[in-house]
Amino acid sequence: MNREFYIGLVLLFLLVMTALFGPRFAPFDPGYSESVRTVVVDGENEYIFAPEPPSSRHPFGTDIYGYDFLTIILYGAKYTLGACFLIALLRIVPGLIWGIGAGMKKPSSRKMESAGAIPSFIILAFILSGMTFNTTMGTVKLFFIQTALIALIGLPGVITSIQDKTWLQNREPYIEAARSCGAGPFRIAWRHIFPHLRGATFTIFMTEVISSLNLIGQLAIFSIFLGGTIATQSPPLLHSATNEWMGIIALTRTSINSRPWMLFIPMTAYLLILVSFNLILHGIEKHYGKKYGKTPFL
Amino acid sequence: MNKRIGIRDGFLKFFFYNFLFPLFFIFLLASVPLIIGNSDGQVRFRLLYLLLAKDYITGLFNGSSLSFNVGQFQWYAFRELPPYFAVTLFYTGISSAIGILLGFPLGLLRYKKINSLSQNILSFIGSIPDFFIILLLQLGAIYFMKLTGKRLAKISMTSDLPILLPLIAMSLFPVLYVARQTSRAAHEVSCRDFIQFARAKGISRRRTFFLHLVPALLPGLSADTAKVAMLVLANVFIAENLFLIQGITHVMVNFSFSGGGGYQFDFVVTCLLYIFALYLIISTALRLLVHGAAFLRRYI
Repeated sequence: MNREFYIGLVLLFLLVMTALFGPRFAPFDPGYSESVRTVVVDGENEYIFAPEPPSSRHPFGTDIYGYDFLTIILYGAKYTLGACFLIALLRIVPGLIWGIGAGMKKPSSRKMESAGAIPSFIILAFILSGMTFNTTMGTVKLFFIQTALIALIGLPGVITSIQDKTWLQNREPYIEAARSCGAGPFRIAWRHIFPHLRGATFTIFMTEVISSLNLIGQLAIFSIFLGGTIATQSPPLLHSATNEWMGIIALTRTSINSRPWMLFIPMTAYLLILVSFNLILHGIEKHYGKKYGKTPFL
Repeated sequence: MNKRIGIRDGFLKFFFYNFLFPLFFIFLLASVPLIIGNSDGQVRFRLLYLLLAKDYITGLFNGSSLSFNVGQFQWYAFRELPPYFAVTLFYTGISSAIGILLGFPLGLLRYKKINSLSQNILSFIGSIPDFFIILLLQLGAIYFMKLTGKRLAKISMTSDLPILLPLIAMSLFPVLYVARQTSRAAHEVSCRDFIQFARAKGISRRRTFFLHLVPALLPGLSADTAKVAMLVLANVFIAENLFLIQGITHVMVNFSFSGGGGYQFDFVVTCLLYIFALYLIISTALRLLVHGAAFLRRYI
């Protein structure tokens, strides 16, 4: 493998460690908030109201309700990273089996293209809205239902991609030779096509991790948060039940004009995930591109 | 006779997949927030709400399906919604046209640099989601104003439409997508035997490029127009919501649960139909643009 791949892997390892062990080092309890506190300046009490900019007490500052940003980032990491990997895994495993099976025959043309007029995150927002807002289900249960549904909506794309790649391999002379030697479809799929799709499978997996991350973010913009959206009527406020990072970005974006610094921490955290995934993806693409790439004549 | 039956079957299939199926999908989608709910810790399905589609179609004849409660006001589908539709059409039309007109030449220019660092950077930018790009643009405009005191661009809609930032945000992904697809396709075509044959015959690089490589890319570009339309429509939902642009997607998202009567099925169906019409207009216009370019090429 190459340098990009290893840098991405190290970055991802650090993020996974943060997700797994971060809450142990969180300075506050996730339920603890300081909407107002007093400090003594020159012998006099001074009131500090939330949101607080970064300080020694709150290194990343606080949100508008007084929750410590560092604490909620550390607690939310496992949901953000966990969801991305779970969604990609739920897409790639059935996608691979189904795609290779379907790709043994010539793929039919795409007929239901027009259904794509409605973006997938809007379809998901419609499906999830009824169960996400003030849910009566447990956070973990809802989290798994949401990830399964997000995985399901991207599954046809993965199947089609693997199907097309399988069909391309299926037309190669070495497959024809194997068939002539009496190899059955299962043997051809398992012994000849699957090993050739290894690079493509890694690439599709990482692409799906990135696309699921983006999809969760788009849903968060419409207040559909992983694990549930807690909505209060008076005052009309929204909270993320899990503090996942995209939910934090979506909730702090309303302060973009008055307190733009509030967006820096969650956006930087999000960018770190995106950079690590992209480095790994480019590393894999580069590795397999060198191995199987063709030479241009122009 | 057989040819006539073939044409009729083809038309029926086209009509089913391009109109009837999407219509069915829109009705189903609009009723989903009512069908799927939760109570006592369980997901509940209330399938009776599927019948709302029947009520909507019946209501079309007496006009009740085309009037909605938006806040304190009564709105009509063909009176209040068209201006919002026009706003969305403006943004989607311009950004999708930029996507094709800028992305295709950019892809052609960069097809030999498919594994370069600059290509990797472009791919990375393409993987950043639209909402993140919009927030970055807004933050950039805010800090520019704080530092210089000058307003670079509007970050949200007030009395008039913000133009610069929404168009940048909405054109970026179509441009990068078309450029990437064109680069990959051009790289693949340049490895084919007919290109090698043309070069072996002594045809110059430039001539091979324009007469053999570029025409081979146009069918792929035409097929990609639908994907560009989908990308732009996905972007417009986010852009209208974050820039507070009063377009059709913004009113759908913001007023579908208002009006004192809870979820407004009729309003959502009508808005989704407008969005579907938008998709048909954009994808058809883009396809015509590509076909027009292919037609004009014959006379160059």
